[in-house]
Amino acid sequence: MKNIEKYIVVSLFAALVLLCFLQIIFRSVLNLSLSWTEELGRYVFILLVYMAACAAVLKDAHVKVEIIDSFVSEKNRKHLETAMDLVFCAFMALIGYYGMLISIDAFELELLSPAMQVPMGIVYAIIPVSFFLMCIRLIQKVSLRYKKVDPVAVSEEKS
Amino acid sequence: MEPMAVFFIAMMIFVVTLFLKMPIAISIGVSSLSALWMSDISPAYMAQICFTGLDSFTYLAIPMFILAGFLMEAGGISKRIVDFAMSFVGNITGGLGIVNVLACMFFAAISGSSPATVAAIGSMMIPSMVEKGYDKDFSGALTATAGSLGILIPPSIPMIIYAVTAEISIGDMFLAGFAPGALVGGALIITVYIIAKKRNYKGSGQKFSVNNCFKTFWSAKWALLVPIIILGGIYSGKFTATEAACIAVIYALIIGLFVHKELKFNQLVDVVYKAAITTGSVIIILGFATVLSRWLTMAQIPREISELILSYTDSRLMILLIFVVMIMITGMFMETAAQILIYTPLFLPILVQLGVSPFHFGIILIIGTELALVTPPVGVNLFVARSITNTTMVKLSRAVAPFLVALFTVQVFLVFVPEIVLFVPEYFKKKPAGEVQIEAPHIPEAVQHKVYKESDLGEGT
Repeated sequence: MKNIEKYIVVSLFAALVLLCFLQIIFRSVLNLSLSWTEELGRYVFILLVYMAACAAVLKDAHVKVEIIDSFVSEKNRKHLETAMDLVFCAFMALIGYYGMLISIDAFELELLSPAMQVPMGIVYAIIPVSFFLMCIRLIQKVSLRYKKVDPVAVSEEKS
Repeated sequence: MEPMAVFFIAMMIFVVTLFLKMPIAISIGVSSLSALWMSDISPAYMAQICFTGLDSFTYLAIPMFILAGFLMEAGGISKRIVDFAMSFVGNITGGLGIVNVLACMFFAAISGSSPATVAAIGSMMIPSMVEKGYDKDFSGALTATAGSLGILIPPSIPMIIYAVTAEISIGDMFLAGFAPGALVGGALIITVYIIAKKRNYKGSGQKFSVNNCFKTFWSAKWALLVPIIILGGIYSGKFTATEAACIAVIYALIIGLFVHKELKFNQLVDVVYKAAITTGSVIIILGFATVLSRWLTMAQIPREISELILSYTDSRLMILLIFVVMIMITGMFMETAAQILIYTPLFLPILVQLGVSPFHFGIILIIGTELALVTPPVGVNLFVARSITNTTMVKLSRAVAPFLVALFTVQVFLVFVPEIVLFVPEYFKKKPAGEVQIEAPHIPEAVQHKVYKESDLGEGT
C-alpha cells in the first residue's frame, strides 16, 4: 500500500506514451485515425497528474518557499508544517467533495463521453478519488511527523 | 464585493500562505477558492475546472517532454553535448563557463524544462568548474541562469501553456524563441567572459583541434538530431506538439537503451517515476492557476486593468515596460505556469488591441518567467543549483546578480526591437506574424465563461 501511487503513475505514464504512439502509427502509417486514443489519452493524463500529485505529498516534492525556515525554531516549524498540511487536506477534501457531487450528477444525467461512450460519471470521479487519496496521504504524513519518521524514507521503502 | 478588492484580498492570501510554507499549488488553490467564495460562486466551479482546465490534448506534450528530458539525461546525451561544446571553446578565457552556457543552450533545444536543464548540465559542469578553480557560487549562479534558457529555446513547456492560453500556434511560438534564445546565450557568454577576465579564470588546458571537434561532434550526433526531429516534425506539419513529444520519448529510449547503452532496463521505472512526480507537482499548479485565470476574466479584471492603464498611457512600449517591471516583482514569489495563466488574460488583450504581436508579448513573458526562476527568494533554478553546489542561498543570490542584469537587459532590448522575435516565424511563414493577431480575437476564456455561467453556476450549493 505504501507504494501504490508509484505503480499507478508509472503504468499510467507508460499508457500515455503508448496511446500517443499508437495514434501516430495509425495516422501516419496506416492512414487511419482513431478517435478513442485522443480521448483516453486526455483522461489518462488527468488521472496521472493528480495521482502523481498524491505521490508527491509523501516525497515532499510539492514546490514551496522555504524562506520561513530561517526565522522559526525547529519545534515551531514542525507545528507550522502540520498546520499547513491540515489546511492543504481540508482544501482537497472540500474540492473533492464538490467533485464527487459533479460525478454523481453526471451519473444521474447518464452523460457519455463522445468517442468511447463511457459514463462521464466514472471519468469525473478522477477528481474526488485522487483528491481524497491526497487527504489520506496528508494525514499519514502528519502522523509520521509526530512519530519522528521521515515520510520521504517511507515512500521510498520497497513494499 | 468590488472585483478589484476581491482580487487584492486573494493576492494577499496567496502571498501570506506562500510564506507560511504552503505548497505553491495549494496557495494558488486557496486564494482562487477565496476569490470564488467572495464573488458567490460555488466551489463546484473549482472542482470542475480542475478537470476541464487540464482536459486538452496539447497539454499531454508536457509530461512527455519532461520524461524525454530525464531519459536523455540518464541515457548519456547531456554528457556528449558537454564534450562537444568543450572541444570548441574549452580553452579560451573562462572557457568552462562558456561551455556551460553553450551546453545549456544545446540541452535547451532538446528539453522543455528549465530546472531539468540546470540539473542535467549543472551536475556535470559545476564540479569540473570548481575543480579548475572557478568560484563555487559563480558556477552555481551561472548554471541556474543559463539553465533558464531551457524554456526560451524550443521545445518549451511554458510556451505550450502560453500558446494554449493565448490560442496561438505552438509551432510559431517555438520558432519565435530561437533568436531571443541565441541573444540571451550571447549576453551570458559576454558576462562570463568579462568576469573570467577579471578573476583570471583559465581555460581547460586542452588545445583546440579540428580533429577533436569532429570526433565529439560525431559522438554527439544522436543528441544533435533531436531538435531537428522535434521541430522539423512540428513545423513540416507532420506532427502536433504532443506527437513530437511522444517521438522524443521513443527516440530517447532507443538511443539510451540500444545506441549509447547507458540506460538500463531496470532503471526505467525509477526514471519514469521521477518524471511523473515532476509532472504532478508542476501540472497541479497549472490546474489551480487556471481557476484563478478564469475567475479574473469572469470578474472582468482585465478590462478594469486595461482601462486603468489606458488612462495613463496608450503607448505599447510603456505598457510593455510596465509589464516587465511587474513580472520582475511578482516573479520573486510566483512560479512559471501561474504567471503565464494570470498575466496572459491581463495584458494580452490590451496589447493586441494596440498592435503588439502575441508572439512578441509571449517572448517577453517567457523571459520574465525565466527571470522568476532565478530571482530569490523563490527561484526553482537556484534551489536546483544550490543542491548541486552545496552553498547557501544568500551567497548564490549575490553571485547571480550580474547574470540577472544580462537577462534583464536582453528582455528590455527585445521590448524595443520586436523584429528579432518575429523574423524567424515570418521567415518560415509567408503570412507575416503581425497579421495573425488580428484574425484571432483573444478572449476565449470569457466566452467559455458565459456558457458556464448560464447553465451550471450555483449548482451544488
